[in-house]
Amino acid sequence: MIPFLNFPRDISFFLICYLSALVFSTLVFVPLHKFKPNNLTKNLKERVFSWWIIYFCYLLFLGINKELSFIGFGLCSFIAHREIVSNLNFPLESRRIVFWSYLAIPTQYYIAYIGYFTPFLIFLPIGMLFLISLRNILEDKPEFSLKVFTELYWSLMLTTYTISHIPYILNLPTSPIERNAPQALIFFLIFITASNDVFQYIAGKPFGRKKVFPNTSPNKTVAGVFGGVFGSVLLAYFFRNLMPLSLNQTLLLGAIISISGFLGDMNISALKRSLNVKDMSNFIPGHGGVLDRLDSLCFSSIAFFYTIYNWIYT
Amino acid sequence: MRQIHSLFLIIIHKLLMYPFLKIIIGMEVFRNISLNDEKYVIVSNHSSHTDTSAILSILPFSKIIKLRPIAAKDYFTENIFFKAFTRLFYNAIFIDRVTKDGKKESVETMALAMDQGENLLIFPEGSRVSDDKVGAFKMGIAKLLKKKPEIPFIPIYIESSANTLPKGDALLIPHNFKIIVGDSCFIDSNKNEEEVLNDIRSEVLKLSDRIRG
Repeated sequence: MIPFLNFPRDISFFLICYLSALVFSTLVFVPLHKFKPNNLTKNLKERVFSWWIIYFCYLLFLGINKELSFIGFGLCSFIAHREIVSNLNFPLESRRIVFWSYLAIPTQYYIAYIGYFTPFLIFLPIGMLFLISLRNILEDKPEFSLKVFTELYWSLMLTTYTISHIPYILNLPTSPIERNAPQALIFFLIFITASNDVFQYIAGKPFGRKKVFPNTSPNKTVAGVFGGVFGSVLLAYFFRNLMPLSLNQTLLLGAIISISGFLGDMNISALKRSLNVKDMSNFIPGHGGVLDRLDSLCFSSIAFFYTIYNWIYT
Repeated sequence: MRQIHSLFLIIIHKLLMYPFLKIIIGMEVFRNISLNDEKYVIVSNHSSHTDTSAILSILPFSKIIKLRPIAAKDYFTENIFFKAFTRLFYNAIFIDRVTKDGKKESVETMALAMDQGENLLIFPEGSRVSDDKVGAFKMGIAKLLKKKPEIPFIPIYIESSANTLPKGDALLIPHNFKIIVGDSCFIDSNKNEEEVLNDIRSEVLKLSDRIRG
C-alpha cells in the first residue's frame, strides 16, 4: 500500500486512514484560518501542521529500517531530557555531570540496538547511579550533589529508560509471534496512546464537570478519563487483527495503555506545575516541547512492554 | 570569490549550523529577522560564542554574506588559525577594543564598512557576560549610529546561551536557549550619545521582558 516503506499490509491500511484524517483536517482548518484569523484558528492550524510532521516522522523512523527507528526514538529521548535539564537551572559548575547524563542516552540506545536484554535493563538504573556519583566525586564540588543526583537520574529514567523500551520491541525474538508483529505492537502502542488524548478531550468537553485532579491539571475530567478508556478499548477492537494476542487480552491492553497514559500525562503536568511553566519548550510549533507530546508514552510504553512480555514470552 | 564565499557561508550556517543548533543544542527562535530593511545594524547581548552562529543562522539567505560581525582584534587575532577561522566562517571585521586614542579609529572602520554596503553585527557589551543579565554597553555603537542616523538598528535578546558554552570553558553542551528579534528602530538624532546608548540598551531589555512575560 505504501510501496517504498516496509510496513506490513494491515498497518499500511490504518496509516492511510490516518493520512486521510490529516488531509481532511488540513482542508478544514487552513481555510478556516483564512476566513477567521484569530488565535484559536491559528493554534488549530499550527497543530494540524505539527501532526503532519509527527506523521511523517513516524513513517521515517518506523518504516525504513531498524537503525533509523533507534536513532529516531533516541533523538526524542534526548530532546525530552534536554527540555527537563534546561528548565532545572543547573549551576555552571555541574555542567560536566550534565554532559555525562547526555552521553548515557546514546549508550542506552546502542545497548538496546544490539539487543542485550540484561545490560539494557540495568545500565540506566544501576550503571548511571554509579556513573553520576563518580563524576560528581571527580568534580569535587559537593554543594550541588543532591540536586544533581536526584534530578539528572530521575530525568534520565523518565525520558530515556521508558522510551527506549519502544524500539526494543523490534529486537524481541519473533519466533513465538508472527513475522510482522513487532511493527504492529509499536503501531498499536503509539496510535492508541495518541488517540487516547483526543478521546479524553472529546468526552471531557461536553460531559465533564467533576475534575479528577484539579490542582495538577484543570482540564482532565472524570467523564474524560472514562471516555478515554472507552475510546481506547474501541480502537483496540478495531486493531484486534494486528495483535498476536487473544481478543480479551487486546481489549485489556487498550485499557492499560489508556490508564497508564493518563497517569503519565498527569506526571508531566505535575512537573510543569512545580516548575511554573506552560510548555517544556517551543520545539514543535503549536504543541510545545517534545516532552509535552511524549508525556503519556513515558508511562504507557513501560506498562505495555512488560504486559506483552509477560503474556508472550514467559 | 565573493560568490564562492557567500555559498560557503550559506552551506555552513543555513544547512549545517541551523539544524545543529535547532535539534542538538536547542535553539528556540521567537521571530525571524524581517526582510524589510535593506541596511541595518544588529545589536545583541552576548554571553557565549554560540550567539554569533545563532544570529547568522536565522538570517535570510541573501543577507548572510552582507552581515559582518564585529570582533575584538586582541582576542580573535591571537594566532593565525583563529584569525583565519573567524574570517572564513564568520566573515568578521576586527577592531581595536583597547581604549587609547584608538576608539575613534574603530568607529571609522565600522562606518567605512557600512558605506561599502555591509550590515554589522555588534555586541555592545564588548565581551561575553557571564550571567544572564544584560551588561553595560560600550559607547562605540552610539557613536556609529549618531554618525549614520538614517540607518536603523535591530535589537536582539538571547537568553541563557551561556549554559551551552560559557566564557572560559571549551565544552559545548546542549541546553535550550531563546533568541528573540525585535522591530527595527531609528535613533533620535537630537539626543546626545549617552541618551542614544540608553535608548538602544532599553530596546534590548524590552525584549527580555517579553520573553519572561
